Amino acid sequence: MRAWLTLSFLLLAAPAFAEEAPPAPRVQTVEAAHDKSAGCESCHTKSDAPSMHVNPAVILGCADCHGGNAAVFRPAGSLANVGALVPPADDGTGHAPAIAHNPDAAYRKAMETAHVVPKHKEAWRWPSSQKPERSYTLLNEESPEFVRFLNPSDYRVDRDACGACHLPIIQAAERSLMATGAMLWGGASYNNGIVPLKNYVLGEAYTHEGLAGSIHSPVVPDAAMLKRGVLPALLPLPRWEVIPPGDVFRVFERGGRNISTEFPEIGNPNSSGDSQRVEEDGRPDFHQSNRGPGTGLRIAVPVINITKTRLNDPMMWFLGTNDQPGDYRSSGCAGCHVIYANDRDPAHSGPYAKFGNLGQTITVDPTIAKGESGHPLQHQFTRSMPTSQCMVCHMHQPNIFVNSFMGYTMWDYESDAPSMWPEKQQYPDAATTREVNDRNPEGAAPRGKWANVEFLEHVSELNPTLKNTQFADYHGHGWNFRAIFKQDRKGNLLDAAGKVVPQDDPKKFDKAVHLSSIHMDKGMHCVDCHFSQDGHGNGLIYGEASAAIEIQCVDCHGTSRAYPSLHTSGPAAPPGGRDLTTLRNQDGSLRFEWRGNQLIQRSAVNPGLEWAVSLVKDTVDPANPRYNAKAARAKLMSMGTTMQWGPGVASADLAHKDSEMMCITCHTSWTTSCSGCHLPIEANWKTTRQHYEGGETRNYATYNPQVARDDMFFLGRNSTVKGNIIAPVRSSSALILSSTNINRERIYVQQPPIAASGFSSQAFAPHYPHTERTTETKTCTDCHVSDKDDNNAIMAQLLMYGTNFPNFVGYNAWVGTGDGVEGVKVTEWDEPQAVIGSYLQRYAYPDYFKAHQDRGRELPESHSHSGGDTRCIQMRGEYLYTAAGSDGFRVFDIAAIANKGVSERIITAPFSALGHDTHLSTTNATCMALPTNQSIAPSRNVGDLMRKDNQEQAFDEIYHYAFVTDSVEGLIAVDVDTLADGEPRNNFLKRAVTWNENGVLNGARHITIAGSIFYIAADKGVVVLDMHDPLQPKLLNVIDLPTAQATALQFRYLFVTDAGGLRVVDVTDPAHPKLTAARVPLAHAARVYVARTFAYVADGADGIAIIDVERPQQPKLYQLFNADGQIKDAHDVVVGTTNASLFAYVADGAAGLKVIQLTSPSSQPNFYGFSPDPKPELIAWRKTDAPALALSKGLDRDRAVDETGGQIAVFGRLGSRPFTLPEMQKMYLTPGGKLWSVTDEIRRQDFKSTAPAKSSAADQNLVRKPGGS
Amino acid sequence: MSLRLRSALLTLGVLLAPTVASAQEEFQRPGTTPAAPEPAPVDNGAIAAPSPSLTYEILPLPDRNRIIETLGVKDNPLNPYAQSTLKGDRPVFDDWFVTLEVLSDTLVEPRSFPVPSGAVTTARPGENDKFGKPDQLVVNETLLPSLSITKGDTTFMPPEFEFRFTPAINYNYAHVEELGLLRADPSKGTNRNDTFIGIQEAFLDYHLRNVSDRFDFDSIRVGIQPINLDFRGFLFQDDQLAARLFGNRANNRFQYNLEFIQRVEKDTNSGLNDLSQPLRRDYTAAANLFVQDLPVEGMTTEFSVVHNWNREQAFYYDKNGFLVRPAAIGDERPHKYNVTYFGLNNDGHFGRVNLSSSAYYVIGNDSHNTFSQGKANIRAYFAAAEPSIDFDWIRVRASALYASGDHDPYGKTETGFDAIQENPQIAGADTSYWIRQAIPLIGGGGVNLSSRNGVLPSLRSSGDEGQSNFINPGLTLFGVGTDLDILPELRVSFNANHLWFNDTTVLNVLRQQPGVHDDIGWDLSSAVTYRPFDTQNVVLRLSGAMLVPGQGFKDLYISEPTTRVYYSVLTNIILKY
Repeated sequence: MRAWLTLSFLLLAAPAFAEEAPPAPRVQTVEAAHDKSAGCESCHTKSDAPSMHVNPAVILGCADCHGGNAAVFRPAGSLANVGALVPPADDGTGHAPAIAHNPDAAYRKAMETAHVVPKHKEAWRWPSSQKPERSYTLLNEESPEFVRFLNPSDYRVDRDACGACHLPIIQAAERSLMATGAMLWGGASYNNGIVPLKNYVLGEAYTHEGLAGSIHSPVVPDAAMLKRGVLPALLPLPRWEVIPPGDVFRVFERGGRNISTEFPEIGNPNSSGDSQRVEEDGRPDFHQSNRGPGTGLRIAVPVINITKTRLNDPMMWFLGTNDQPGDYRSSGCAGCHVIYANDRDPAHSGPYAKFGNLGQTITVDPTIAKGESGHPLQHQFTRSMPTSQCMVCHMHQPNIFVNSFMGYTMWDYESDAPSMWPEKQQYPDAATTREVNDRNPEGAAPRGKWANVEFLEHVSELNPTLKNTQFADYHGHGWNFRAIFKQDRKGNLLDAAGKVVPQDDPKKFDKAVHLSSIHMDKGMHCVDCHFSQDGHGNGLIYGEASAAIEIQCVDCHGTSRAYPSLHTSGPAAPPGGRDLTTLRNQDGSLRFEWRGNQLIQRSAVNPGLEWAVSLVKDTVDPANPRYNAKAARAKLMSMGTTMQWGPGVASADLAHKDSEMMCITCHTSWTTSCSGCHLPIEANWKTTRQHYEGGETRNYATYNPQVARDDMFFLGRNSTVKGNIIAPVRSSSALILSSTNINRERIYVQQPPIAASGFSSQAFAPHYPHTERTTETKTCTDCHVSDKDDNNAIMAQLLMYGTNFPNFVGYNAWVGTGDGVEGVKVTEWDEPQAVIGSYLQRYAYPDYFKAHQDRGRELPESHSHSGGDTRCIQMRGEYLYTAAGSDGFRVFDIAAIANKGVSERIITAPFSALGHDTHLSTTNATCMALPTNQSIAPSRNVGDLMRKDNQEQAFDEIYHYAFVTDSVEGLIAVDVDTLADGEPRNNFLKRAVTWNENGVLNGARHITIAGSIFYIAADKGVVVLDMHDPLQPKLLNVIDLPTAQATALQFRYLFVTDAGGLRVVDVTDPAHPKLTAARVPLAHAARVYVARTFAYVADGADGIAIIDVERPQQPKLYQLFNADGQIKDAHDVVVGTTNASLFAYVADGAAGLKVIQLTSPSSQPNFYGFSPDPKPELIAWRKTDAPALALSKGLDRDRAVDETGGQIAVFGRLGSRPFTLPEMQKMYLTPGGKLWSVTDEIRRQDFKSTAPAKSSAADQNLVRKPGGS
Repeated sequence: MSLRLRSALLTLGVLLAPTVASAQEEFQRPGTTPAAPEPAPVDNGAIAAPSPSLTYEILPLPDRNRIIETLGVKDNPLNPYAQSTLKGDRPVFDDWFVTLEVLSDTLVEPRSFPVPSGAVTTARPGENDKFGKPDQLVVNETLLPSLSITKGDTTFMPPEFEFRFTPAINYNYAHVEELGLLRADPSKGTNRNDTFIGIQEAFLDYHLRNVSDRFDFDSIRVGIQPINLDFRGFLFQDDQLAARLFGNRANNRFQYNLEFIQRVEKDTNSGLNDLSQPLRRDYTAAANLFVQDLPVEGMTTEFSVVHNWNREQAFYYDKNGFLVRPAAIGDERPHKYNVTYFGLNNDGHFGRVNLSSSAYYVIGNDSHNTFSQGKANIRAYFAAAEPSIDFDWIRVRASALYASGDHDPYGKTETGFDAIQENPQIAGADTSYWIRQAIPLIGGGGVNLSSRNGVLPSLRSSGDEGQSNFINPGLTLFGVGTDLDILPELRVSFNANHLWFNDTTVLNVLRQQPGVHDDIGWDLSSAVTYRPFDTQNVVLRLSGAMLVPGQGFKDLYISEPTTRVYYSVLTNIILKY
């Protein structure tokens, strides 16, 4: 069958080939080649490397590769085009204008005869050779002849130009992830619930003619190959117009009446005249189609984003966008092998740094305009690609994010805001917004100074004047990237010796360590580790980058027990590995060489540069001059709790075996975390498809990083391809989605999607952060309980329980009141979604900020619904779960909360109780909790598809339920799965179980869920339940705190408020909780919220008690904050992060909601720290309709798993997952269940040498400093 | 090489690595043994790169619409709810789409309203009362196949080009108790079977241009097309022949129309467009502007100017033989008129209060006042408002409507409000008795007190075929109602409206019956809409309405003192492919 398809394809394609120039020959005489250049040279006169290859053995004429007619000569007497001699005029944009092209008619005619003329002259700026900006699918619309003329190495045509010599590489490169983008498309469609296949099936490829193509593996993968992540084929991306929605938002449910599958009538309301279809005022039909899934607007919106929003775009099938620093490049082979000027930092660009960041040429060809952006540096291939060339693509979250290699991450709009936002608020019109967002998909960009390309090009020049951060010189996608510096957990900058660099030190950024990879510091570039196969692929199709990589750390560094083999050993390494000793640099020198006992690597980019490769075995050998005790201790640490380490530890007894954990588990200095990304789609944008056919249609979503931080560090299990070993994990594009329809009604707001596996799409993925350091590594206390007991929050984060710090409160803060619920608008809608009254609002929206101050900081908008005495409230998805005293448990429908067309924004239900009943009568519902506040759909995660093909863990049973405490009835479980199944006709809730054995839960008033362990504050004390089987609760214990009001859990400690204040319970073993002596007396302690190392207690008339719980057993009152008496009756407090700042929201009784900025660049320069000291400032308030009693916790963005190992959030990569409970416990409990702890101190008594008694030399070496000799 | 030797060499190699490495620096010399190659790491799962000589395929698959089949989304031409190429979800080729719809609209309508007993002969011997038996039954079946050919991209862009053709095939049956009701000829009996094929849509829609990055655009649509000049069909709602330039601006905040309409003659019994007749000499030019978020967010305000000029000065009898133009009223002389409506309409909400409202002021002139028999000016006005408030699944509505009445039929100015072609969606719309039923003005001329699907008591000969009449008693309506969304599939509505004439002078004149009271009565109705699949493919509606006559109605129709209640039952089955 396939043969037939191939044959018919070839036959079909044959006529097109016939008109094209013959393929470039593998060999020919110099004379023959000259004939194919002679005419070209009559104008171009000379080139940098005429054959593109520096090697003179390659004999090619111009027309061999480019086609065209080399027999045409410059007419005698006609003027040559001397673009290089024409000085560029300054038009104020900072870009030189297109050079005036030669007006000589004879010359022009000759050129048009010699060159291949494009179909779309204007689009290509014919006859300019300048790469047009954002050409995207223009290549698909062109003739292959022109594509070949423009860029013979474009994948559509490179078989003709390059195939004679490089066919295997071409074939492989077309299949590589850099061309197919299969990981982004697969991950996006899986994490958004669109395609339930974790063995990805979608990827980008085109035929010679630029048609969408399916790409096939040359071999049918066998079982072994499948295990290694090899995929059989990739299909083109289906059109979004036909893909059923994966999201379970109400607008995608059935039931639509009025929105048909055709374009809506404009200026012709209710034109059917049918009373049944009258559009109801104040209650417009929001269903996206009155027909089934995959019709009309009832489609998978994220696929529009994949198609239109610059995510990884453009990939290798297209030219770079050539519009801003960091975006200049060609397509196909030249996309990597032809250097463009993108970055002025020598560490990034190596020898090319001096050529600027504007994509201008230095070619000797006089016909190529100088001083004009969009040209390669030279007409010359190189294998010495600098990192800056890779960064044109790899600067993006779902695109490996190599910024971290260079020590940068995405800027968050807050640091050094005064320098980046205009003094006057911008009100960009549609055309300006479109112009900016076509370059830069950030919704915030049109308001910022960096909307202006000229400003963008010079952003890094601001660095000497900046206070909070330093910017990189590359700006791919138009973005800004901020540098990461060494800091302690409080956010103090640290120098190399670990000493604090004061924030007011003018040289602080010179003194603090910039956390780029040690490799970059040595002068290395990407190509110094990632050799030919990592760049091109091996001819097989992969869906995951890590599966397609052959290099591993150990290949060059060896292990603690063996010198490096210098053979690649990664998942994509060939059998036996690739022999690195045979690799040669472009200048012919060996890349690796043993010199004495040193392994030398020669730079592939900087001629003459070489370095000694650090050999692990040397660093752990006390007798070796390169011995490093800290490294040796980590690598030779024994298993068990003795902390014995040294060469005397047998390999089998090593705690940190190479076979069980990646080297970067410890050698990572920091990890990027994209805790949240908002994709608000708007119907009314006329935008082009950036793939396949191009063309303009409605809809566009901006792309808005929300909390991009560098202070998170998680561990989990890597993919199956990587042996499921321990690896760093990062928060990876935790999306929330919004949609604004044609009438500008917000039909869903800030809704997290749900993955195909039913897990929350607040996604995580094992990650290679490329932030390897020798000194700034992870230490024992980063991953194990510290003997000082000061890393409880770090452990909670590491194990991915969440720290309640980067939580997302969003557009509305949800308040439980004495009479129902209220949603208070607390942020701007536009991007950036600054909290009203915040530091960010001051700079991004100065006019709005002033208006807010003029209003006395009162928030202008809220919506409420009456109900009972609501003392617990939680938003999840488009529903608001409440416990409302005698009104029982009720789930409100809040889907329309921000829809301006809707008059009643919060409803109990759209139908009567006969058609939708999410209310449960209970005697006195005092509180409720969901096992997670992330949107999940456990019912999706079933069957062989999930268990076997997708290698997903099952949901724990508790995730089907909401749990309600009732002061009389005890604990009630309610199955709430129905609210996540997208079916509006089965929304009925009923009790699954009611439990109050022996009245132990009498007076129950608060519930904390920690996996299958529940903590319920009741009259008898804090009741601990084992809820592994939610239908059969088991009483584990009762903590003797009879006046307990509320609880909050962080890893080993339960924080309890009671009549005396804050108490701390050690729940390392939940069945045997230990009440510690710790106590912080408070007068009115109500709810408690623990965010990293601070506990925030709502303390009634005293305001908010902020308590330092870094050492949970020694809590210290840090501050009582009542905003100069403005907080009068605090009942509840939650904390969340917006951009770089931390906020607290307070339910202040009759006074309503209070919004407090806890940190900001102006109040706390250490704001990037893991847990900087809060500096609370009251920034906004609103009096609620009834007394504010409770708050909905913001969406957890760093919680992937619960305290008993139940997975919550989706993991990218097949087989990857968070730790199970036993795996977690191994890190802090002995097999007998006893806590063990670690110290970072290198202790003489722990050392275990091969000959312990005699090794005094080794002992002396113990204190040797890293790198010392 | 044996495994043991291999591992020995591995150990050796590692231990002697520097030595081995330095050996590599030297050329191999004859007679020497080269150093052992670096042993490879053991990796049983390693995969060799495939041979470059294999087939590396990229197969063209340019139709990205059908790739979705691979993911299990099948084209289903039989199921109108599912994705289907026949329903315009996927292009038939390139970016051309075909949309096929077939709608069956079945109506069974038992009803009663005052009718005259036969004037020439009666249905039953011995009838000498003026009023006959009011009970009737109407059965109506309309089949509307619709074909649309569109160039563009489903709903993701305004169509570059659209051609739509929707014929309607109608069968209707009526049974009455009196002769002369169904046809002018009393010998034709009390039953009527009729069929008709009309053209309800036949238009070309052409996208002129885009005007902004927000996809604001201008388009023109020419042909028979759905027209509604306000939100609730108070002025002109119909499928009519029109040329309409329309579009939007400013992120769709503004929508506008400039249109010219020439009305198509209607088939009398089906109400469908009858293209076999010459076009009516009735012309409408309209300009309107819809402004969203005015005056507050969530409220859309429409400003409109509509000019209607009617030149129908020939006698025209409908299919049943009744005179419809001029109306059989007054001196029954043909006349022409020019009227201009100035409209202000709203639809949306102010906070929690929903509001749809409409106000028109009409000025114009009539070439012949059928009473005064001279020229007359027209000055009339109309206002309607339907505020409502939602309580979760309950909507409580209030309805109010005022249409000015004529206080002096013989005066120089006609002050009764009439629309061009109303189809009002207020106060229960077609479930209400008054709006649904056309009640003949018995004994005052061959006109109706109100039209079918009309609220205005405009004394037209026919809502569809008659001319506007600005000498009418006007109307005041106050009502309350509620819509209850009981189930996703089921909505129940209740309406109670009270209606009054504003000025009964014209009725007094026509009926030569002084002192007709203004109280029309209570219009009570209830409706059930059931969509068994929660879709639009099957919609069942059952509604019942009754009119409890007030004194005015009794004055006009009821001679005996007993209170008679009139009813209207609507059983409607809509099946849609």
